[in-house]
Amino acid sequence: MPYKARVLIVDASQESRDILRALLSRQGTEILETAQIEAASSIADREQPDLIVCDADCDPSPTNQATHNLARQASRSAIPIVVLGTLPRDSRPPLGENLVAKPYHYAPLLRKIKSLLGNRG
Amino acid sequence: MASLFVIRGRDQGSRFQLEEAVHSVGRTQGNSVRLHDTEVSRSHAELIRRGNVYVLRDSASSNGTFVNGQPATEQELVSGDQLQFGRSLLLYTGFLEDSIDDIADQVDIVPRTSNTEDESRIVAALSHSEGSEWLLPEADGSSTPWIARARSNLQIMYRTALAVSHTMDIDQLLARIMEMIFEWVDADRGCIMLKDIETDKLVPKVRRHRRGVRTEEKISISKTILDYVVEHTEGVLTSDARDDKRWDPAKSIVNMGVREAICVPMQGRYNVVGVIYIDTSTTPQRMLMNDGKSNQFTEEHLRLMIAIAHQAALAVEDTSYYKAMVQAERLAAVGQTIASLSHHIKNILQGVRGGSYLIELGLGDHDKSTNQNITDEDATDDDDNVLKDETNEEQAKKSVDMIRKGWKIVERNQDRISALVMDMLTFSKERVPEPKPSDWNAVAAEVVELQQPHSKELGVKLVWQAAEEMPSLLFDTEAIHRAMLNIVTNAIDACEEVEQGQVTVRAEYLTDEKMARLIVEDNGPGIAPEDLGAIFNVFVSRKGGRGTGLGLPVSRKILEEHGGQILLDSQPGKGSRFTLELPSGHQSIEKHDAPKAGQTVAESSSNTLSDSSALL
Repeated sequence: MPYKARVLIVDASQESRDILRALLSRQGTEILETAQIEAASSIADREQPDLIVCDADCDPSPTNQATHNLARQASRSAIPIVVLGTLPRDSRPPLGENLVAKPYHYAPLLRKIKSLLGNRG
Repeated sequence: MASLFVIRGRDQGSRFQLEEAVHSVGRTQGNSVRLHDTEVSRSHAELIRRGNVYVLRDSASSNGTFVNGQPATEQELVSGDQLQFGRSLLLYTGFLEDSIDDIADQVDIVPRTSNTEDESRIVAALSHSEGSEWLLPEADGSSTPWIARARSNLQIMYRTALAVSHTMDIDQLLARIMEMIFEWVDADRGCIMLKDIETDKLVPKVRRHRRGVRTEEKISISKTILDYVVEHTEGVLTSDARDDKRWDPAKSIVNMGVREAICVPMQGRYNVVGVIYIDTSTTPQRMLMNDGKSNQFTEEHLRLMIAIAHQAALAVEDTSYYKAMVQAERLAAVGQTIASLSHHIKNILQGVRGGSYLIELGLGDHDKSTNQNITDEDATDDDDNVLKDETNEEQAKKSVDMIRKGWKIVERNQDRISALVMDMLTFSKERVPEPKPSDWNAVAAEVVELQQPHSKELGVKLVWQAAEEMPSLLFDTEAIHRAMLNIVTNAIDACEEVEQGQVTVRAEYLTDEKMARLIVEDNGPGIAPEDLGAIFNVFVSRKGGRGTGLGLPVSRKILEEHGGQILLDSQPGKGSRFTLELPSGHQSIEKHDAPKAGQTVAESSSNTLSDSSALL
């Protein structure tokens, strides 16, 4: 049975989760999802996904503390993380090109996800 | 907490809270007080906290640091100090004195019924206008000339103080000051010049002349005198003949007359904000009548002019600060509006892109499976074809499902953008409702029916209970529909994450109060007491990226335009209840044919509901 990559989607919007789920499932990816960023850490810890895709709007705190925590945890577990949206420069975790500003196009995002998953494979 | 407020420069309107031991001021990132000003050095100065005061220390900046217009290398700051870095001017506000908090305990207001020893009686009373009457000269002329003059001067100052405190418009204020000066002094011409904030040059703002004096004549003021007045912050009394050694009534200068002038600085709290200039000419004839004396302006005039100019300067400063604050708040509000709307539109656009992409992929997949079918039909092996047909059919079905899903998302975001535009229009316009005889029950039922797919999608039970009796009421159907829709949508969204979420929408008519109500109850997470106060504020949303923060303020505005209101009752962990109240009063036109008990308006029109607590 071929290996199925697993992606954890963290997004408060049901609609956004639906879109990503449909697109990634079509590529044969297994999806884990949560609407709450606070729950994401324990899911990531337990399930050890191959990639985390997190919407910046999930984190309502002005310092984006929850996003920082999730990014730190992902880094410790060597799980790549893609954050969608905008984070203030002074409270931004070191994400490099994995911070994708809205509104983004899905084709490049899927290519980025594929490439990050490919690197892990 | 201490703070710096930018009153001039590119960062005008920004406020920096000061609480750290050291704050750095500079134009580059990393400075806690960052100024976007090319004349500010990278590391321009430091603010060092010493107890409850801050000390400003210049960090060898290229253009220097100034406090209240004076160069400063190290200086302890006090509230109200103006700090200049490059072209930016900042107002410093220090920490509150501890003693201020204690004052309330030190003053006792004794109630009327209290049996205390205070038995004070009012023995004399004077109205506000009577209070200033003592400044007027006595009618019988009994007072000495000195007292009469002192009273007159005091009255001028009193009137000046009143005049400057009655307007927040600088042009009006200056015109009033000039008018008063002309009432008091026998000047021919006068003008007030204010310093331009950007160029620091004096710009004439008000010009006035005495009746009968030629108006086309330009007022020429010596730059030397103006510079002297501004630099020395001293008023001057000038004459073009007083020190002239050639002075002799018999000589030709008498034929020309003599011009006298008073020029005074408008000294504000820290800087000179402008100058006031008045002059007068003495004709040769008058000089001859006065034994060759020309001076109509005296040192007493000069003193009073200085005092008036100081009052005017304080008022000009206050008005400028007030304007700067209003402008800053306005800019901040515009910025917040644009940021908030952009964020919401970005999310809608994201949804549209997602939906469109799903459609695009679905169409591509569908084309592939259809083309595959055509190719397979050309093949000869029948058994293989049956298997392939089934696979291709499954593929086609999957792609159609994807197209459908994408289209639903696009449609939903179309509705969102439409709702946003309508809310923006409703919120921005001062509109008068266009009432017409309408059915409160029917409008509410329509809203509930419209929200049925949304509630189903989120797995929320939506219950509709129509009022058994409801008169026809006068209201703007479209507006009320919008208000109801916002409240019901919010309630459904609030239950999204709740297991067995339920929203009950109930209409009722209170006959005694003559009031129609719509009660929208949900069993969502409720609203924390500390958030209740801000819930109707514009751009305050608890729905994260999905909320515009316009729905509730717009709904409240609509109800208030109808003389009604929205009440909110919420308990964290239990849910919220929004009550929309529309007073019918005299607006009630006729009794509407009430739906039968247990029947809803929606039922009567569409037969989709079966009982009074119908689940939609």
